[in-house]
Amino acid sequence: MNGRWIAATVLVVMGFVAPARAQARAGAAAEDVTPAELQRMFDGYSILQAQESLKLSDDQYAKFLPRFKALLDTRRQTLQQRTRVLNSIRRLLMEAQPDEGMLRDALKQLQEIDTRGEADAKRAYEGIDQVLDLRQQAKFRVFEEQMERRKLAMVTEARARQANRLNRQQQKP
Amino acid sequence: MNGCSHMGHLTPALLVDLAEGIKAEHSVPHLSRCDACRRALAELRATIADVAGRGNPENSGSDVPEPSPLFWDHLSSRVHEAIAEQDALGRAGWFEAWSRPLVSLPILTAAAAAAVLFVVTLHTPTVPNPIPATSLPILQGALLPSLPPLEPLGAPDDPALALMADYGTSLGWDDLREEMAGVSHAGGIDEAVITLSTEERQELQLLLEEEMTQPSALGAS
Repeated sequence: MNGRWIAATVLVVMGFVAPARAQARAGAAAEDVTPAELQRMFDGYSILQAQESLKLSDDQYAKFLPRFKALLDTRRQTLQQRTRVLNSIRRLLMEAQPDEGMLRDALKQLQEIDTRGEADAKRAYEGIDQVLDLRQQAKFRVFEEQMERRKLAMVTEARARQANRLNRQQQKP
Repeated sequence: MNGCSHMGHLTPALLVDLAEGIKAEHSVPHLSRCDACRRALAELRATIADVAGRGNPENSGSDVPEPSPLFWDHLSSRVHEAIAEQDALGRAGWFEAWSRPLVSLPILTAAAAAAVLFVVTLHTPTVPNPIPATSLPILQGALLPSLPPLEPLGAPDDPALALMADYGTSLGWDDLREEMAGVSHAGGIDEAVITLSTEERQELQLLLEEEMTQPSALGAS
């Protein structure tokens, strides 16, 4: 069975692609899309691109997919926890007399989150590496970096498109 | 922690200790500075005094009669019977809910469809399918001209340093977040997405849909 079809089927089953297609069908581009939905779409996009870039066999892909998803989830979870603690630190610092005990607790929490996040990410990488050969492992590191850059370029492009649209609207009499 | 809550007020436990006289008021300096905590303590003391008053038969208008000894003898067996009855009802309800055709039929249909799909896909021969090269070759960094090379970290004219210096003077936190949205690190894109406006998110959704529906996005290069 072709790996591409596995990828497409699995992504549809996991719900990465379905929302996008449903909206495209309904022509519902004007509907609001939440950051969480976009992040989900980005995950789906990363998974598809990973299969292509690493040239995974069908067998490898079946094992790679949940492990890669676990890495993405781990990272996102750590980031969310970190942001939450940072926000509470920010609120504390806005007080005239920040409670030093609470600041200390928050810093400790931050350190724990970082330590746990690194350990979880390391475990997730080890799981992925078990599925890939040496060359693919190396490619995966490069792929991740380039994927981040690619996603960032898309965010920048989306901003630019919206800015252009606004400019056009303002120029209309 | 000194018994103060997140907002700097006294915790309920400390207030109770103070109200009951377990802790002396002078041992909690916050109390002399905070009207809200003093008010809370006064209310708590009043409530405790009120409850103590009701407990005293001289102050209480209505005495609650003690139940008969027979009541306590039968209480335990009644509770056991009631629990056993609930359990039996719960088990029957679960089975009835799952055995209804409206619930079981779609599940069985979905399972059968999944099994058929699995068998069919297993027997489909592998045919190499030439897919046109992607317009977004992500393993060729040279094709991303929109990304300028990074400035050396710590350079005197590092724009990131200027950005941080502006924070708190001309830049608010939200402005800073927006400016920092371009930071590229693992998970950084999530932060960038959060800072987008509704319209920008819609544009990004369209872009992503374009990328994902391209044949190249599903194929090998």
